[in-house]
Amino acid sequence: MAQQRRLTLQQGSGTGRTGGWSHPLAFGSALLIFVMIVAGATVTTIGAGDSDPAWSWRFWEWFRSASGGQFYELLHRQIGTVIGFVAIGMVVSLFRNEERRWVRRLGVVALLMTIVQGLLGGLRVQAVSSPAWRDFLCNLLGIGHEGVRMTLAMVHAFNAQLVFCTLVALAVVTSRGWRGGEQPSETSEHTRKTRRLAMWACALIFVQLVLGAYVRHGRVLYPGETAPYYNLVLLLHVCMALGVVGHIFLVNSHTRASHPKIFPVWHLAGLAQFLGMFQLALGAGAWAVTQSGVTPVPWDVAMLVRVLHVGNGAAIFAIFVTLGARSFKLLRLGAPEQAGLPQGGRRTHEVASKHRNRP
Amino acid sequence: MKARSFVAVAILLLASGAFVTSCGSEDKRQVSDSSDKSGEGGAEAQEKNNSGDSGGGGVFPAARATATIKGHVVYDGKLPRRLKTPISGEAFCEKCYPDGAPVSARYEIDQATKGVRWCFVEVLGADTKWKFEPPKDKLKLDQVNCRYAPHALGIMTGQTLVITSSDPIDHNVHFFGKNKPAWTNRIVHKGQLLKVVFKRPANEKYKCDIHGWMNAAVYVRSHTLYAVTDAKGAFTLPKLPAGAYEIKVVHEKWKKGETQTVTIGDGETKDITLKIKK
Repeated sequence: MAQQRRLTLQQGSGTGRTGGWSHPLAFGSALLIFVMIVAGATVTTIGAGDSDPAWSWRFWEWFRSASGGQFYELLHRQIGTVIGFVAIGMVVSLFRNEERRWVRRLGVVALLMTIVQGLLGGLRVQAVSSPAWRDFLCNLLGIGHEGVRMTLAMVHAFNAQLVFCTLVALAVVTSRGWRGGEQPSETSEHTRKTRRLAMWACALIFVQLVLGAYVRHGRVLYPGETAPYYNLVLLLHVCMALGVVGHIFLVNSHTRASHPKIFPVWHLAGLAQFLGMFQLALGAGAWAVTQSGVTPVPWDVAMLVRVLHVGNGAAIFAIFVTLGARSFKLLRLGAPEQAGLPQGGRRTHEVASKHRNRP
Repeated sequence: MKARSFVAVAILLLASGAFVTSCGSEDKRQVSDSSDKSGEGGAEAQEKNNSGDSGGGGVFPAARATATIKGHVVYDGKLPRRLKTPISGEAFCEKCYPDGAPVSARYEIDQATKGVRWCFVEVLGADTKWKFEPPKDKLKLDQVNCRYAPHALGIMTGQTLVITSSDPIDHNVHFFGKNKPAWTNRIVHKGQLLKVVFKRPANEKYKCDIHGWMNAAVYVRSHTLYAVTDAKGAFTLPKLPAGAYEIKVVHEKWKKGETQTVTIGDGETKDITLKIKK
């Protein structure tokens, strides 16, 4: 019956299958994960991660009113619970409506990563409040409980970015445009470079996010002190920020010059460039309010700057995941004249002005 | 493939279920411990069998201790900006300070004398020279008007610290440090008593994560020759036998504390000034 249904779906799909709820749920999960990252950044910034020492399977107990830092921590857990259910719904929908096996697999991977992320969050809380877990993890990792706490918090932080990236990719590949038979719009000899640049951007940004997680957690989890090699990692984070923004500029100039007709590709690169500059400013602000110790700004402004820095970093990551995915969908490898598709190439002034004047 | 994926998901869900169930049972045990109002929980009792790391030669000669070292700790250099305690997000706490948030305990410096409050002054190497018995009296770390009272205190290994709260709202007590106490993070309700006995000397901290500005510094030593400075930066060390001593100052925020060598005779009183800076 299921096979027959799948066959019917495949026959009827062609390029116009609806995909059921897959895309809305994938998009919703990605959006919620983004909100979750911002909420998590707020929790870390105000140091409220341990404001509710209990963490159990009774997740409904988190849906209660709270004040102070506990409000943010419970909000973080509440959003996490909702994401879990939405992700389960997404996978169910994928298995019911999606004929592409790799997309279904990606959905399962996303769900597993979401579950792991929840467990990491729980373990992070238990590593502090439960002596049994604390001692077990200390012995397992061979470090003190502050080190365990920091390690788990870091893994929790960058796994969140991986979950986000996976869900963004799912949202892209389940979108109507992608499913609906969106064909490569351009064959260009620059395609390989565009894809490579996009993937390098993803990798660089991810490393930068890991360094950022160390900088954040290495300071917050040790009140008055910093984690080992903290200053070195901070320096790396700053240097790499300049490198990443430089790379974003490169991607932007390359896509504008090489694929001027492929709006979904170059406009994403342009947006990333804008956000990259904004991120540099936020990073400088975050440094000023935390590291320098000389900038007298209100506490809530300092918090906002640091939270925005994390949220903006995640947004740039998502943009490059989308750009990478779309470069595989919309661009084809090869010489333009062979495929008879619109020719990509160096951008001419005429083309540039045409795009500028586009309604 | 579909079946395999479902099996994988099912295994992971079962594993996560086992994990959260174990977490739940852990919580239950912890709650029953913390509801022990007398504070004599089993966990604390486990810690009482340690006697600290006191080493060195003979017992501290309290009878011969007649010399007094006292003085002030002053900030060296341009006075830092007095940052306020960022009290917000809790109606009760905001009501406690109708005239605005007080200066953060870490920045409490007397503007006229440059005296630094909440500094820990100790006699270096006292535990290698003598053996000390942990004092019988218990020290109290209270939470009053959304701040720890006192903000800093010294305690000897083996001595009991009682943590409590006078506030009508919940605070959590989160321990940061090198010791491994029986509990590391608990909610404390008004009037509840939580007891801690430290095993090893270290500079430890407590923090409330619900109200992120609340923190306290606990200096654990295996001797009793220490003092904490008052609002003017003044301190008086316990009486000492005649001799030469190295006196050191420590602060949780200002790291460069001075160490001074002081030679003192029987019955003598010496007034010293220790400097501290960023």
